[in-house]
Amino acid sequence: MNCAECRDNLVACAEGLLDREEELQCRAHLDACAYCRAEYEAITSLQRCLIARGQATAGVRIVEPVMRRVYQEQFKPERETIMSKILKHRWGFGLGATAGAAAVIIAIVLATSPKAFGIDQVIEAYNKIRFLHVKDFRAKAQEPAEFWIKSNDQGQVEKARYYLPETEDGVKLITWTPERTELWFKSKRRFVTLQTSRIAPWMQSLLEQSQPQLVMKKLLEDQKAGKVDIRTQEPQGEQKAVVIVAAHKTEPNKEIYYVDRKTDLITRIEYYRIEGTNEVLKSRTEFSDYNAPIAEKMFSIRGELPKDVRIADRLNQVSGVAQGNMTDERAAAETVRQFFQALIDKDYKKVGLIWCGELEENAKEEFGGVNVAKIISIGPPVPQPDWDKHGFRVPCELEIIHSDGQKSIWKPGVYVRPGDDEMHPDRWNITGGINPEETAVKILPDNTKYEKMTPQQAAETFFKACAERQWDEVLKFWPMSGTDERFERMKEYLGGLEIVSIGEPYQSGKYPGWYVPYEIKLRPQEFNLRVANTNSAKRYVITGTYDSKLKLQEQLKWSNEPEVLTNNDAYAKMSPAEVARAYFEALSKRDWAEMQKFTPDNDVETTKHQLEEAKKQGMDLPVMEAGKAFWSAEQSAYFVKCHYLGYVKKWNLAVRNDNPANRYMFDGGL
Amino acid sequence: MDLTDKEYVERCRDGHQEDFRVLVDRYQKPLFAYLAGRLRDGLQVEEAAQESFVRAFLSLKKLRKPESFYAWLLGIAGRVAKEQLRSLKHRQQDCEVTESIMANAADSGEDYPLEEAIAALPETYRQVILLRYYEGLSCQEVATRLDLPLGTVTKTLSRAYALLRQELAARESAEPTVNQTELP
Repeated sequence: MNCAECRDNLVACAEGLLDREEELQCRAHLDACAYCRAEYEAITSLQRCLIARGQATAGVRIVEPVMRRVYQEQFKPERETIMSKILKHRWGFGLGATAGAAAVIIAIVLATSPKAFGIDQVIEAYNKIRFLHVKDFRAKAQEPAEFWIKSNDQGQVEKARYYLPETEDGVKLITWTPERTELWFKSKRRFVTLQTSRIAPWMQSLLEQSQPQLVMKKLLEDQKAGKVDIRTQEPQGEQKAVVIVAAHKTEPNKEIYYVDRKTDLITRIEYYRIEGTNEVLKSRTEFSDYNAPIAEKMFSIRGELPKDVRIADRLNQVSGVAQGNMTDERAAAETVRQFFQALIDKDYKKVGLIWCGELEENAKEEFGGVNVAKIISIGPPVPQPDWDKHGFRVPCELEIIHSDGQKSIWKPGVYVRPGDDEMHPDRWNITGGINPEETAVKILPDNTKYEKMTPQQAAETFFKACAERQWDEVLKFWPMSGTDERFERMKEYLGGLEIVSIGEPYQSGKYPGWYVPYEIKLRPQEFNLRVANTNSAKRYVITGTYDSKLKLQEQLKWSNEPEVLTNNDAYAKMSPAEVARAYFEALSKRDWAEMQKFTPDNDVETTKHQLEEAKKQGMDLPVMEAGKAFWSAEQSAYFVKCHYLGYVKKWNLAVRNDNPANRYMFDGGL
Repeated sequence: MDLTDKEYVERCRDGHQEDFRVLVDRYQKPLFAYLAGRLRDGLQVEEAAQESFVRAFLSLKKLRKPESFYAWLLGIAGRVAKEQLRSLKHRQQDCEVTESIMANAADSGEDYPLEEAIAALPETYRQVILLRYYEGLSCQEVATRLDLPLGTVTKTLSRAYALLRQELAARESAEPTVNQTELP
């Protein structure tokens, strides 16, 4: 069989349609001809994709529901409304896309008012929007997230800046332009420059959410589907805004949109959740400074950075390791190998490059104390299917040398994946799983004793050491230095505890260690509340919590001044200690309204949340008592000495032993 | 033998809306696969698929090239998916920006170019691919269904694979074009 004949038969061969002799000839040719073999493999690979698609959708049956909806739509009367006009204008698809010839009926006051909503002006107004400032207030958040967006004539986002005060990564500040994205992880003191197009769609959607056309369209669709009731109120008297109230029928949610009567622009959206008979405000988004020009310097962070920030530059240097012809597994393992080889060679420039493009000095600062002597083993890489894109965890074994010359084995599980640098999607970077602190875990002279402990025994020994304040013993289970600030806090928190019970350890999910259920009784603890009356209501309110040594634990931010109450005089006469007592009493009665007189709204929300969480764990908040007030000259503030009675904590201690010393160490759950 | 997409579209426009059922039946699975590449949640996919068909039906009169019904349907589905993601993002707007920039965003699904490439096939080829893979028929069954010799089916498949590979390769180096096809 020659190439041409083979090609003619490839599909039949892949389908198993050739007779025995033809198939043998075809296979023989494929064995001999790399060119035809490649063609055959390409066909079978495509077949596999198609078969997988067919299998994944084998059970799909939507003909009947679609046809039911088609018939329903047919019988809807046609009616043009003001809302539908708004939608049709500019965006082109309007209701035609949602309801076709049969426009949706909207029974709202708006539709009957000829001048209502100033449609033309609205559209005109939005056509000219170039600058926008958005604030997003979450109920439990201390601060709003903020966005500044600049768009072009076509309504596409050109530049953006956003400030995110509360994320898993702590405070984040980001600026975006098509050429350059800057990310400042403020809490982590890290700064990254890169080029990405992934932010633009998100900013665009935010910009579009402020467009009445799209907001209305979504509402109408939901109304059409019977999901929402819409009510519109024209402004009355002094009121300046058109108010659109959308109450959802299938979920306990409600939104209120405020449209400025003068400018025809949306100024605020409030999101409520219905809980029983209450409407609880969950968040609100405010749109302001429409078309107020935003200074160019706002779209770059570089000039605002303090000196101690670690910088990773993925714009001017190529990070990671190129995949080349390697398989994904090979590339993952090779990236990790090159990283540790660079650590052995003390080549911190290379270490930084593979570590997502961090600068050499940062890499040295982070890994300078880790003395890797040799690589014992790397891999095999374990795929991480939960990730949005493919990546691996690569288990490694390395020999490290401690400062006293002692050797031990370090077993990090390194996370590695390609394409973090959008401009170089074929390059693999290390994204986590390396904790230099782990290498500080030393092998103890009596390490065998600890190595032999079960997770339960380790937890028991740890808590017992806390109970007896044997801090040297405690540190054997906690990989941190005795001079660490966290250590002092832990001493205060756990010192003198009483063990109630230690349960059977269990494993869960992908966590490589064990969870040990425990119940402990913490001893009574002292703390201080800071109070101040330098507000327009002239009454004492709580402004922060401090530990027994007057070290700040949490500052309570009042975004608005404390309200002047109807019976403000009575509260203004209360002393600092009386305020603390009244607050604790309100808390014990769960009298949220009363609590709001002493702490900011978001603090009350946080307390509610904590109570719910505590309840889930079968706990209650401890009983708190207020003592005497005192003036701190150092802090120039009044404080009230308080304490809470010892309380029982039931939770799970996380322990793992994949460290050089092979003993179970504390990893979380206190 | 079944009518072509063009013929069914024209019949629907002439008032035989019941015939739309055939088009839904013909494309429900590839449409599902297409949306599954964009939206991860099964319920969302089903909702978006239904919505896309309903919108397509209501806009049939505006479809200028009835023979391109499937490509046009994918364009509608693409927009429906985008709207769903937008509304979802808005509700879950916890601003996990690292998620969205350090990792692929949920809306950057990578699995749908295959369906777009299928949509770009001439109808004869597309029909064979759909019957063979989405309806799960064997080549012999496809031949019987379409009243064609078995050899013609394998040749059509062979040509369809070549076109698909060509289309997929072209898409790797360019943005998907299906959304730029005729708008409803």
